[in-house]
Parts: sequence; structure tokens; C-alpha cells
Amino acid sequence: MFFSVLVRGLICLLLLTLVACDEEQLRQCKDDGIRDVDECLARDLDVESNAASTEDDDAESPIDEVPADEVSGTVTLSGRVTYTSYLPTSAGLNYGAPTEKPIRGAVVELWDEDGGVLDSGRTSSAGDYSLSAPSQTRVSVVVKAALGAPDSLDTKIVDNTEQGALYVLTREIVTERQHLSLNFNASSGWDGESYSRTRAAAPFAILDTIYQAQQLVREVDANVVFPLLLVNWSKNNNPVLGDASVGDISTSYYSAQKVQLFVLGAENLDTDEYDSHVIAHEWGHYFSDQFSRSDSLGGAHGSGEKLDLTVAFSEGFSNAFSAMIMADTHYIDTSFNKQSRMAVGFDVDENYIDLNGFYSEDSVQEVIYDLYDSDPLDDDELSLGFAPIYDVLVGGHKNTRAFTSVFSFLHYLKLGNPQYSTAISNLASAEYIHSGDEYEELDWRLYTNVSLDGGTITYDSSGENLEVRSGNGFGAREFFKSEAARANCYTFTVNPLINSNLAFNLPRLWSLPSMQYTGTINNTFSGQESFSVYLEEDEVISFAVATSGDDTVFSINATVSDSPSMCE
Amino acid sequence: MPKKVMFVLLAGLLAVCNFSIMAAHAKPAAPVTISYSSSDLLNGDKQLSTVIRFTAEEDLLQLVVSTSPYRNIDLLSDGEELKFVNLKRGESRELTVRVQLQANRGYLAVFASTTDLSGLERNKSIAIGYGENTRLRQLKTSADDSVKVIGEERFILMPGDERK
Repeated sequence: MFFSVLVRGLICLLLLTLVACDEEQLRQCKDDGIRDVDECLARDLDVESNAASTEDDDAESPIDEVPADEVSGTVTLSGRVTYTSYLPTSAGLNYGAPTEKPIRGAVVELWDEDGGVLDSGRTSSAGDYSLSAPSQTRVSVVVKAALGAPDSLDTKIVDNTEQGALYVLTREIVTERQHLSLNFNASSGWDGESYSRTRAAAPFAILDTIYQAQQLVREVDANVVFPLLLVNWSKNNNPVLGDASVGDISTSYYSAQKVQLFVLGAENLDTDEYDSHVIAHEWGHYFSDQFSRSDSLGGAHGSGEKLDLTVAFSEGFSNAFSAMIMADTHYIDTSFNKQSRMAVGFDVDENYIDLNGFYSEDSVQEVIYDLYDSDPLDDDELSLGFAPIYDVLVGGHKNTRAFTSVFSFLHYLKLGNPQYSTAISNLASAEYIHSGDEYEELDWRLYTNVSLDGGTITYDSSGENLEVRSGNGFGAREFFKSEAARANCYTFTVNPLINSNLAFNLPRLWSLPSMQYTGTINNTFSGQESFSVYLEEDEVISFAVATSGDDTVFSINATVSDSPSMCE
Repeated sequence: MPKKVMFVLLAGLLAVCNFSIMAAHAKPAAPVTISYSSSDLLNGDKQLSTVIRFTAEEDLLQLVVSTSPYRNIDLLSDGEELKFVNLKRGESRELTVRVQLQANRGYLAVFASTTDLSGLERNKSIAIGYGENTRLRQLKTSADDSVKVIGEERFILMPGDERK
């Protein structure tokens, strides 16, 4: 009997010591300038065991019996923050099964009554935070819908209809002389029939998808730095083409010009905050734009459409990337009254669309996902993971002289992974994407060679039975390339002969400071356009001419510039 | 201006936008383009008619369309569903609606449900905005989120619900 009591006493003492150690450790981390709870706990303790002890603490009492620091007059204010989430399904958002998920990686601050920042940090992967607070003071714990370091944010969820105001979740408290625990949740505002209260969870649902996206990239590049991304979400964001400052954003999209994401929030029409694959897809465009390169025309697109090869790659990659980020191949976008329908849904790993090839986003997404996946249902022989895909996207694919497409991606993937070259080709061929170089298939040349000796090529599409002839569809532009036999300054000119609606396009490689051209390329339909560029010996340049209408005739001339100053 | 001319102008504008605003990457969508005549939007009369055009982006077995009032608007015309079958890519169908604004700015919801040749069903929802863009404050549906300005930064304060 005595022995049993003694053993129980020792166990209790051990547990109490562990809890006290957590608190002491957090305080020590703060003294050492470490603000991230995960980072702090990972120094000496296993994070999961610590999270378990935090849960136990929460279950017992919101107030820890640990006295304030008698010297500094500060107490530790810690807790867990969550947001209410709903799963998108084929029958719309599942409001019947709400879950409270941790707000992960968010910047958290302690504000005084005037909004002055008393302390700051980041929430852990479990949603835990810990801040130092003055004792016996009215303060607010403020969780920003933002990722990054407190003084250097990389992601902000803002309201475009409120002059870019940042969403923050707040909870006021008067500190005492003991350390406090304060857990709180961002609610969805859904009352069973409508969003009748503040939709506080929405910005944090978007934030969490982006947190997961960043984690995927960090797993293969620990030193990655994310350029600031503004994500514009508002309950007023309608599917109306118009003024974004009042919420008329047209659809959810990424703007490379602004480095901003716009997300729909229009109840009973189209909301996307819980459609995590939609957010992940759009973040994929941000990733391509900021870390890789996309020459995509952008615009409307969908399954089963025959697209410009740059659009097909950009969208197919973003679809596959969304499945990698969410660890779920089922892309679902909900909409309609009470968010009760699936607007678009497909399995990224299952192309059942009867349209295969480099111009199909369905084909591209399946090839890329099949290269990546390794789950038990994997139906192919390759399981490369994300690292080699990342390496290609930030390497060869980013710097290709061709327009970015599945061809440039596969070309450099095979170059970097020669042991898998045959398997990669076989995988692509199953989607009717056949072997080629970084430009095109060997048996279906998309690019026409333009000699640099002053000759003129006349292109005539009259009578051609192309299926798509405008916008971002396949056939909406013609591709050309030239190779310099010797270094010189060359001038390229396109002249409309029938149908003056032409536009010269260059790959975005040429927008880099190190790549310079001079001349008129405004990417809008107009008459004659020309540009001059200095090419080194054996250097290749590719370009495209966008056309509209069924009958288009134009000529292209490339010649050594009369004056080398044209290239200065 | 005749509606046909207006549609053509809008289509031309969109085509130019595709190349001039090259960097707008939209989410995947149902294979139907919804456009509408805008000539009546310039009319000072608060009763307005609009021709809504649905254009198939793929061959479709079926296209079901409907409209309903969204915000600050009454639908004066019949709001029932219309069903069209066997549309070839590029083919259009039209629907004419008549609405009355309740305020300076109002919205009509437009829904389209497509079924392609493989039987895949997809939906698209858009809204048509009428009137002036001055309605932002009127549309605030909840009063409990407030904006706080600290220095040059603006924050939308949203209260958290305490959990044990």
C-alpha cells in the first residue's frame, strides 16, 4: 500500500515538473529572442508531447497556478486559436459537420488598449501561441490573418472593399498576477440558413491552405523566401466584372501584375474560402509567377477545352499542385444558393476527358501528378515526389528559350533525371504527349523557323479548319523561332496582310532585366509591330503572333539591324 | 446602340483584354460564357431589360439557365429555368430579363448548369451589377466587424469566441 502511494506521488511530481518546464522553456525562449512556439519547443522537447501536455492543461483549468514574474511584473499568456471549417463535397459545403481546425503559422500579437504591440510571435502547427503580458492590465490577443515573421509578413489576407484592411481575430482579457491560458475560435457566422454573423473563419481558412502550400515548398527548399502576397477576400466579392474596390472581381484569380490573389465571397452565388483546392490552385499561379516562369495567356479555361499550350501547362500544373498541397486528388469548387452545389469537380489523378494532348489541362495535370504521387493507389511506376519537379520549375523550365509548356517541363525533367527518362516519356505518351524537345513534339512541329538572313515568311491561315481561333485557345497564335548563326543585332517585323488584328508575343524570359530588346511589343492587337534584339552566336529566340478571326495573313521578316544602336 | 453591336463590342474588348491583361489566372470553370447587353445599363430609368447570352465553350448535351434577384433588385420577368439541348461549341442561347432597382446599386444572379458529351455536369454562377458602385456601406450585412486604423495600417477586428 505504502509503495503504491509512493509510486503515484513520484509520477505526479514528474508530470508537474514537465508542465512547469514547458512554461519555463517558453519564457527562456522569449528571453533568447525566439518567438515561434514550435521552434522553441523543438529546441529540447518533443513538440507532440508538449502539445499533449497543453491539451491536458486546457482540460483542467484556463488559469495556470504559476505566479507572475515578481521582478518584471509580466505573466505568460498562452493558448490555442482555431477556426471553423467546412468540407467541400459534391453536394456543396457540408455545413452539417463543422470542424475547428488550428490556425497555423499565423502572426499573433498582444495589443494594449491603444493598439500598441506589447509582444508578438507566431502560432505553432497546433495553433498554440505564447506571449508575455504585463500583469493586471487590459490587453488584446490579436491573431493576424497573415504568415511570415511578425516584422516581415509574406502573406496577408485583406479586404479589398475596405482599402486593404487586414483581417484580425481578437480576444480581450485583463491579465492577473498568474499566467493565463486563453483559447478562442474564429467562427464561420453560419446560423444554419445563412451567414448572419461575422465570417471570421473565412480569412483563416484561406490562410491555412496557403500555410500548407508553403509547407510543401519548404519541405524541398528550407531556405525559401516567399515574396509578399496579398489575398483579397470579402463577403462582398461578387462574380461580376467591374471595380474590385467595391467587390466586383469577376471570379477567383491570381494577378501576376499585382502579385495579388482575389477570392470570391458572395454568399448564395459563389464563395471560395472553404474551397481549398481553388485557393491552392491560385497559389500555384503565384508560385509559378514568383519562383518559376509562366508565359500563360491566362483567362477562362476548364476541363475538355483545347487550350494554348502555355495555358494548358499553367492550369494543369496548378490543378496537380493543388492536389499535392491538399494531399487530396479531389478538386471541388462549390457554389449556388446556400453553397449547395459543386460548380466544378474532378479527380486530378483520373483523366476521363476524351481530349488528350499538350493542349489539355486534364492531360497535363495527370502527367504531373503521376510523376509526383506515391500513394497505395498509384497507378504508374514513377513516384518522384516534389523535389525534382521543384528543381525543374525553378531551373530549366524557368530559363527555357521556348514558351513555357509541358514540353519545356518534361524536357528539363528528363535532363535532370536521365534514369527515369523512358518512364517519363511513357507516362506522357499515355496522355498523347509525345517525345520532343523543349519546344514541341518531334512529329508535330508547332514552331516555324524564321531565318535571320532577311528573308520574309508569309503565314496564311485562310481556309484552315482550326477549332479555336481566339482568346487563349489552341490555334489563337502561331509560334516561331530563330537561331543566330553569328552574334549581331537583329530586327523582327510582323506585317498584317489580311486582318490587321495581330499581336507580337515574347516569352516572359524577355521581361528580365538581363534580357533586353527594343521596339514595339505591346501585347495588344494592332497593326505592324517590330522589335530588335542582340543575339549571341547560336542563341535562340522564340516568339508568337496572336491572331483573331478565321482568315489571317501576315508576313514576318527578320534581318540584321541597319544600326547596331537599335539594340542598345 | 443596337444590342448586337454591343455584344460584338464586348466580345472584342474581352479578346483584347485576354492579351493585354495577360496575367489574370482564373479558376477552372464550367464550359459556358455568360455575356449580357449593357446598353440598358446606361438608361436612367430604374426598370431595365437585359439580354443574357450563354455561349457553349464545348459541345453540350444540355444547358439549364435561370436568374434570381440577388441584392437590391426585383425580377419583373419570369424567373423560371430554361433548358436547352444539344449545343455545338460556339452556339449561343439568349434569355431576356426585366428588373427594377431598389437602390442605386443592385445585383441579379445568373446560373448556368452544363452537361457535356461525357455526362459531366458543371455549374457557373455570375451576377449582373446594375446602377452605380456606391452601395458598399449599404451592403454591410453584419455590424460586428469593425475597422481600426493604427498608424498607416487598417485592421478589421473580428471577435473570437472563447473555448475551454
